[in-house]
Amino acid sequence: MCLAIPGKILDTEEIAGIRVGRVQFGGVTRKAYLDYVPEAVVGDYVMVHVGFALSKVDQDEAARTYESMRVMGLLEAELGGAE
Amino acid sequence: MKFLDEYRDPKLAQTLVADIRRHVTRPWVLMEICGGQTHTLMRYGIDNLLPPEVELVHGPGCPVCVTPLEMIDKAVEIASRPDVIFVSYGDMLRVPGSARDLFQVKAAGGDVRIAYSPMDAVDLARKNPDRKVVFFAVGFETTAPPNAMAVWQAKREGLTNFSLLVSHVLVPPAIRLLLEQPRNRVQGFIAPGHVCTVMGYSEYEELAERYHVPFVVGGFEPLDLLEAIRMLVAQLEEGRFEVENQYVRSVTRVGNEAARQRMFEVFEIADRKWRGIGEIGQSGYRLREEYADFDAERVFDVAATRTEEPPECIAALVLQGLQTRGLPYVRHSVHARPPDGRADGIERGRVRGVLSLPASRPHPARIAGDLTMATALNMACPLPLTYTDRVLLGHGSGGKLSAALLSDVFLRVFDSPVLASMEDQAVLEIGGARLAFTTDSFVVKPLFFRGGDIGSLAVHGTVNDLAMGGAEPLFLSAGFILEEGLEMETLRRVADSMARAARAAGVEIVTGDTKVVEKGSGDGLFINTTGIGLVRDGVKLSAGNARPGDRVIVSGTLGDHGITILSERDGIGFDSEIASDSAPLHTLVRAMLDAASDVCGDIRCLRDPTRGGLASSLNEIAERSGVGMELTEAEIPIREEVRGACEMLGLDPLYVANEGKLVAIVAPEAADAILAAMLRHPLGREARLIGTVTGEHRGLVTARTAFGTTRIVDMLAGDQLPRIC
Repeated sequence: MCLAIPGKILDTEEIAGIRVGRVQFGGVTRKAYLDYVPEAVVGDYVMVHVGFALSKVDQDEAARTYESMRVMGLLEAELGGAE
Repeated sequence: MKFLDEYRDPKLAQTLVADIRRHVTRPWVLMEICGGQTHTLMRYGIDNLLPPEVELVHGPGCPVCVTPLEMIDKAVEIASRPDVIFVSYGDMLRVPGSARDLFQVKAAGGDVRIAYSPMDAVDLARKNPDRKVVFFAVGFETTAPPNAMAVWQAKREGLTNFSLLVSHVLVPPAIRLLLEQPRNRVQGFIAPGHVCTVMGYSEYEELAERYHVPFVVGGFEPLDLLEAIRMLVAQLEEGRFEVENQYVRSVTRVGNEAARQRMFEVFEIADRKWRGIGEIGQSGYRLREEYADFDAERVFDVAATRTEEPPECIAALVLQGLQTRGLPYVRHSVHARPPDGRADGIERGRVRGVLSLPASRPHPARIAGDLTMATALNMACPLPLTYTDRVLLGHGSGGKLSAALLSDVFLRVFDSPVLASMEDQAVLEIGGARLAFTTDSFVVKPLFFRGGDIGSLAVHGTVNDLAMGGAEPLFLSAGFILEEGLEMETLRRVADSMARAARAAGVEIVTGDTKVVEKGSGDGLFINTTGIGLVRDGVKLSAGNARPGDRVIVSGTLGDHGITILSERDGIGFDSEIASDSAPLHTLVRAMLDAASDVCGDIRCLRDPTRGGLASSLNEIAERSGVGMELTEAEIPIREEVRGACEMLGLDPLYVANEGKLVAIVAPEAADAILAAMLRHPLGREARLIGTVTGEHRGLVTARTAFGTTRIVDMLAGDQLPRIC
């Protein structure tokens, strides 16, 4: 269920009273509705599902998740445990 | 792509797997609820990376599989009405009701359309005030806020011609039901990250506490899932049963309050039927009384429609994970036979791009060393229907349906050995000359697109079909079917473009025909072109020539044409700079033949992977030659724009159409010289060696992922549709 992918907000406008942004996914952009992420601004990454941004990607948390995996990898290498 | 690529790092995956191996001491059964997560697990072969102690079973989280027969029957009933435009997410169209699916309704004249977003349906309602627009609102908690916004907006604008057919279901009641089963085997859950993005995860704390099972909210990329599995194994080994959050970049404990607020303004919790399971109390949403005027069940008076699920339906077992590992290949709700009893008409297998075991092939227990296959499956997946008494759009998709149409209707009666060889062109010996002869029809919509138009495409397509036989194209015919009312200026532009394309390709259009059909009987303009060319002495290319050891080369990036066309279609539209790759390939082929030291044997086969994409072309060759193929996924060239669009719509670029690319099967000793010649040609600058022909798993194409696992690249069953799931 629920295919959602991260994209970057390029700009925003109001259409029929709803906040809409142009969101970039890799090399393509598409209009996405931003009413559910009032805190998201241009330059933020949002998770988009069926044309709706449902969360603002928490970049600090994303970096932390990645970093903890990376550190685990370094430890692994030190332990010589990479199987 | 940021926030995707870093979570697909194969090296870090190995690290996580090593950590899981180190900590696991006994068998554990884990379930991922969400179909999107199942898709990732299959796509990257993550099952096969895990130690044997960790068994993954795949849960009920696919809105497509859980939608009950009854709801499809209601959809079919509404969509069949002449005053209705019925709009749905792509993946719902093939789900069969008791007699028909929505594709068949469309084929019988129903106005059924695919949308990427529910707001596209609202837009249709604005633009068609004299029609009733119905949106099929399926999905879990993630999709409910978008669907709620659509109906909220329609009400605000006073769009009285818009309604929702609601079939929304919720995750926690399904988990509760599962945990209440005496036969339940699941000991830990990966909670669905996008559902929790909306709902938060406090609901799962209650479940963890009550049933003493751990939950980890997981994301959708391979590293997310491996990390979630690692966290679950750690909890289980330590005897903990908490709710932890792996997907912190998108999920918080409280979720998205703005989205929930709108959702509960529009929907309220209600009992819902699940396919194969039956009614689960308080397990879904319905529209609130204030939105009764927007409830399609009331508007069209179908609320009383009742359909019983057939007793042989074992969807409940599949949905509850009571199947062994290996079965995910047939994950959708499963019947022993289709509702009308025509068992052999239904296609086993390929679901949502997930691996499958094609019905026509033997069932090896293991393939390619590490690929566990579903065995002893005396059952079939209802997706998609292939038995049909009408032509469906999928019959033109270049996949299995097209092949079935050819063999069932045409090959038998035309009874020609040349035709039966099923090459892209016929090669005929006439008066000492070897003549290549081919025909192709063009029905592309829109007529003009970035990188070309129907006119240039009609020239390139036929030139390429000749070139794939190793022929020098010489002459073309052009037949036009014009719809009454077509603007003369449009026709002139197309004709000019054809003339330019023919001149540039060095072919002459020497004969033609024009017919006009009544308005409504055509779609503006269709073109047929037929071509003849001369095949050089000794050249004999055929899909039956591939041998183990041969190399697979593509001439450039895949999917450019298909994604360009999709980007310009209503309902799915997105913006990109990408242009169709439409181009005549005969000079590239000439350069390749010149580079081959043994012109008779070095190049075994050429194909232009048009509709159905690379996957369909290679499957055809594998089947015809009785060989297997193994591709190296990392070597397959795909543009960033095509990747982005495919990620967004849930498509696989290997199935997307090309109009200026070829795939070559060449002898191993000639591969370097041929690849070098291609790289020197302007249309082969991005050519790549992408795989090898093998003597193993004959008839199957597989791809080695960056994770060192193998997935099956099956032939497309029907049209590739945008997924929400």
